[in-house]
Amino acid sequence: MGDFQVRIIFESWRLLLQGTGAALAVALAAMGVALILGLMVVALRLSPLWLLRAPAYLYIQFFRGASLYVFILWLFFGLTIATGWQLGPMVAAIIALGMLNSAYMAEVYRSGLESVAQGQFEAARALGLTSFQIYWDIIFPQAIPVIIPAAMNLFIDLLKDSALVGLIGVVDIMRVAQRLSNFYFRPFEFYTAAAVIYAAIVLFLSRVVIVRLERYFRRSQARAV
Amino acid sequence: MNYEFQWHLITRNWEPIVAGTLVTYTVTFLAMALALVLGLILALMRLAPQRWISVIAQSYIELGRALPLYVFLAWIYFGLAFAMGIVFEPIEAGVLALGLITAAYMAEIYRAGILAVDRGQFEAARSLGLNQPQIYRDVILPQAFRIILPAAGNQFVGAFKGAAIVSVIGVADLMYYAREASLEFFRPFEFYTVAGAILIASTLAFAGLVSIIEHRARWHG
Repeated sequence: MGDFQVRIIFESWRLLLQGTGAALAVALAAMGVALILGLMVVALRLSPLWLLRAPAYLYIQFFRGASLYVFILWLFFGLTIATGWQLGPMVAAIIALGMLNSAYMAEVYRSGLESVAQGQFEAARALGLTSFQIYWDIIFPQAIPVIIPAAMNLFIDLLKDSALVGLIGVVDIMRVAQRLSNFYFRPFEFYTAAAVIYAAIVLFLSRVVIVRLERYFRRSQARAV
Repeated sequence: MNYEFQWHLITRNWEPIVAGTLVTYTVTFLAMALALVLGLILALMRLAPQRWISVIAQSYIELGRALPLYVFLAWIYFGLAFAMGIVFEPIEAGVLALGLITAAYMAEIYRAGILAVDRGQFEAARSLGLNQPQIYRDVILPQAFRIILPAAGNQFVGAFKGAAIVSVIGVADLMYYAREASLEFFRPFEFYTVAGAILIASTLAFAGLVSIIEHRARWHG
């Protein structure tokens, strides 16, 4: 084990960088899907109508119970053959990751909205604001400090989960590592490189970005008081 | 949509489906057992007064929580095994990877549980003349276990969801069989649907069980 060849990792920096770019692109696009879809799901989930609330509840339970690996294979291999739809690996990966995480995102939105004091709703209604105005102008701005750090944590989990998308053919970090391992016949070097890249990105997001976000929101709240 | 569903393939091949499900369960239980033991050791190291011991545990926990399971799995099975000349059985590597990663999460759960025990309990135990191992074994941990039960249960459910991926290194679990059968019969929709249904039903059943145990623990607390 004495001859860990750092050189071949640096020689392949361009491919590893492309893989990192693809992984981040999939993760960001999927997060976009989760943010939008999650908002729709939480709107249904908080609806006063039982008929709207129940399907949203089932949707959340279902996707929180599903594992990404199974869902992504089902979508990419199973559903495409059964229906004849042609999904590229990239699109399938974004849909699978996005749908799965929209369920978690819906719960993040809900915890944010429920953290706003009940009196704010009542005061806004007493002022004669419409439902849309209440949510858009009063509730949401106050829920943001709770939602954003939690959404960022969700993004970290999503990014970690996205390591699986190489299995359906997206040329992400793991796929690149696998190809390079086969080419050089040095799996230890390249899987270590992949692990270091993931750990670096995740630790940067959790130790730097989230800490700053939380500090920022604490300060802006202190100013508002 | 002119696809003819052939669900009879599932009923005709139920034996490997059940066997694969049991392998998935086995991987989960063994990995969780490893995580429960190693996690406790890590948590105690993390809380140790000696700074260097605490730093080692802290680094492990940070790294374990930062690495995606699939990356760690591939690193152990393809990378480490190759570099060290160790030949793992796929199931050994699967249990090891899932257990080592889950241990990092369990360590944080244990730590939170231990810190949630009232400070006065430490002081009272010390003033009774108990030594450090006795304090933990007889006073603190029994109280901490009750606190961490729901979180540990959730972690178990998470480990079960994670166990679904060990087939990528060739563990002959449910997903492995679903893939093999899909290729053999060219019927991926049927086999992945059934595998997915079994895994989701199990996850929801485990989650339900966890909340029942949680309720019990609260009422008898």
